[in-house]
Amino acid sequence: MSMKNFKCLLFFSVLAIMGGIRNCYVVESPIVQVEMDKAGMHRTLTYRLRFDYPLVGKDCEYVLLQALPASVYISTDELDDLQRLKRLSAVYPKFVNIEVATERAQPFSVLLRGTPKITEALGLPVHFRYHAPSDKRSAATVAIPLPELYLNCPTADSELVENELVARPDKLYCLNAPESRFDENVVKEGQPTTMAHLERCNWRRVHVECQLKTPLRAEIPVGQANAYGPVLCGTILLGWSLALWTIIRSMANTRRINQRLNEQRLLQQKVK
Amino acid sequence: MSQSKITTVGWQRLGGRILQTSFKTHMLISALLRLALICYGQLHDSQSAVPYTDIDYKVVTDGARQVLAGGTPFARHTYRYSPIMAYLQTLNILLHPAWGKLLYATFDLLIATLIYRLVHMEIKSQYQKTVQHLLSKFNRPRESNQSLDALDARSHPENLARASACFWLYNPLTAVISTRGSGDCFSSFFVILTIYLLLKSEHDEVRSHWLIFGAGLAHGLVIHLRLYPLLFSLAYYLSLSTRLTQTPLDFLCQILRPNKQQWCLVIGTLVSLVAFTWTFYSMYGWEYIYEAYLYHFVRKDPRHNFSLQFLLQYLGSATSVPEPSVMLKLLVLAPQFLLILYLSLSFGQFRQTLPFCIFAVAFVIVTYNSVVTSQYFIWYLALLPLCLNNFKLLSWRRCFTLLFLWLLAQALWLLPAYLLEFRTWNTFYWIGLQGAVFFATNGYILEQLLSHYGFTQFKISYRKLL
Repeated sequence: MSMKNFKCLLFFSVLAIMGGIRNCYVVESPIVQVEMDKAGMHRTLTYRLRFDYPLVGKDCEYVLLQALPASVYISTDELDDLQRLKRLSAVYPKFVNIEVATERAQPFSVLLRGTPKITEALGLPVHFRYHAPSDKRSAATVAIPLPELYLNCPTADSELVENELVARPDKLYCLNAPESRFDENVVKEGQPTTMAHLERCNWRRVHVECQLKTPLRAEIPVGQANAYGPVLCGTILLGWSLALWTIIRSMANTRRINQRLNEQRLLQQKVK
Repeated sequence: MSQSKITTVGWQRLGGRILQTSFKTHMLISALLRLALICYGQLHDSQSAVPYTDIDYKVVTDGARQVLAGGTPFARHTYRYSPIMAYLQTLNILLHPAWGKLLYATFDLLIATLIYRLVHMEIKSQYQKTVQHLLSKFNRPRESNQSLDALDARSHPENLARASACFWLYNPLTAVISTRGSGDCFSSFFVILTIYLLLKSEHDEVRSHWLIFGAGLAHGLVIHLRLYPLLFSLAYYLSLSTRLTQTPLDFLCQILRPNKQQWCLVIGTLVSLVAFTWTFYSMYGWEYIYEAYLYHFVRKDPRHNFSLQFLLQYLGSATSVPEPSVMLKLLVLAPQFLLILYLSLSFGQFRQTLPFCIFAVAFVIVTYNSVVTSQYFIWYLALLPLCLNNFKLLSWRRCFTLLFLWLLAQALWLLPAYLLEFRTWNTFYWIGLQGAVFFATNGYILEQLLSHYGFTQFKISYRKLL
């Protein structure tokens, strides 16, 4: 083999090895560190997201789906303000009743949107509802489930979302923004496929490595229902006592004032 | 010199300086102050995630947006006000987002103008009546329209009216509430306007009936805007009576046989209330009736607040607790109605005592309400300046003690509320206890005000008078 032929062989070999390396690179699962404030009825869920570099800088979009149990609510006005200040991009229900107790509330989800970056931090302010008083417990444990991650990449970049990365390779999901959730994409035969539908229903749920510093649990105080009777008696007693005391104490002065005003009135009527 | 004397002299000097400045200057300073607060609010909201603007302001602005789009303001969730509020704030969208705040701040200043005029009129009238009463003792009862020369400077209507208006203008709570975009000043303005027109009708015999009819129109509008002024109705009605009600039979006669003036008030109120309510009902249907009125009766909000009834309501929300009987509900509600009836009969029978009566009724409504938040305090704080002159029997020291007690009771309530909200401590009973303490404090303050109320506190120079 001549030297010239050897150099050609070496060049192509290197090219082949490099191509192989590119094909062999497995995109690592995104990492999400979740943290919640330690105490209070009003806390912030902080997410620190890390994406592997092939996903960064592409036209991909992610959504972090945070399911919230019935004992947790968000203030839509608060999130509107955060969106206005460009501190958050999220999809959430249009109306969340913030007054009802846990027992009468419904769970829902919040979708946090973004484009993959090497690292990114997001904050979601959440609030805990009151629990109905009970005879058996003085606190209720509320557990917040781990978030789910969905990715949507344009067709040209879709190969980036490898099968190993996808939780359910056989499934695509549609973003249901009005309900703030994902629905499984069920293709019906004969149904025309529009571009908008393709974009909306090109979401794939991906594996995510969730790292927690502390469990996402909160102890919410609960009142003692069996205290209702004494409290009812106390409320009635105090209400009546204060009303009667006020009347008795001020009656002499009011009588004197009315008498003098009546004298004035009679005098005026006489002058007229 | 003792510490208390120095304090008193200090207050007197400050009072003297305030009295020397003209009312127009005070209005100008207050207007600038409010403009500055509105500008600060705009800047604050563009930077901070904790907004300065009241949440209700945003709700009403959204309602206005719905109206401009040809829809109903009730399409905005939690919109539970009269549609008038949304109409008032349509310029928030068309002109500038701060328009509504500017409007409410203007009403804030208009309230001060009404306070000034009302106190001036009230004191002048009371002075003339007192003089007439005194002269009658010297057998000279026919010398009416006395000049104000016999009055000392501190009791002069001009000075007292200015001081009362300043009490409102420089109250930080009210200035902040209106510039945050709360519409409470708007409704408070119409409450004071009603009192003003009723008092004015006593001095203007020619237009007396029209003024009372006007008062009725204002009263009907304010009931349409906020339900609570409905409870002022009995006092307004009794203030127009021509004789003292002393027995239950007298009272029944008063109610069943109204005089001409009382008819004017009732008709004015009904015309206004029905006209506004019917118009909006025909526009927005049952949804308007439910959201603006009925919702406030069926609402159950067991979250912590200043009310005495908070703990009861919270514990009552347990599934194991049966719905209380009508009798029990009546037992809880009755003291409030008893006090309102007592106050209306005690202070509502003469127009001289009407401003204080309405203040005291508003105080009782808030104190005994099932839900009490800081914003409700404006219901009676707007009326307090009208009665300042009537508390001259209370020393400065006692006044400050009462104010201190009121603030202390709130601070004591805030501690367990903070521990529950931000530390997740189980402080429900503690909050309930502090709610009871705040309730008792308010009761004590009311009793002190009722017992020290005086309507003829003038220093009249007999030499000048006679």
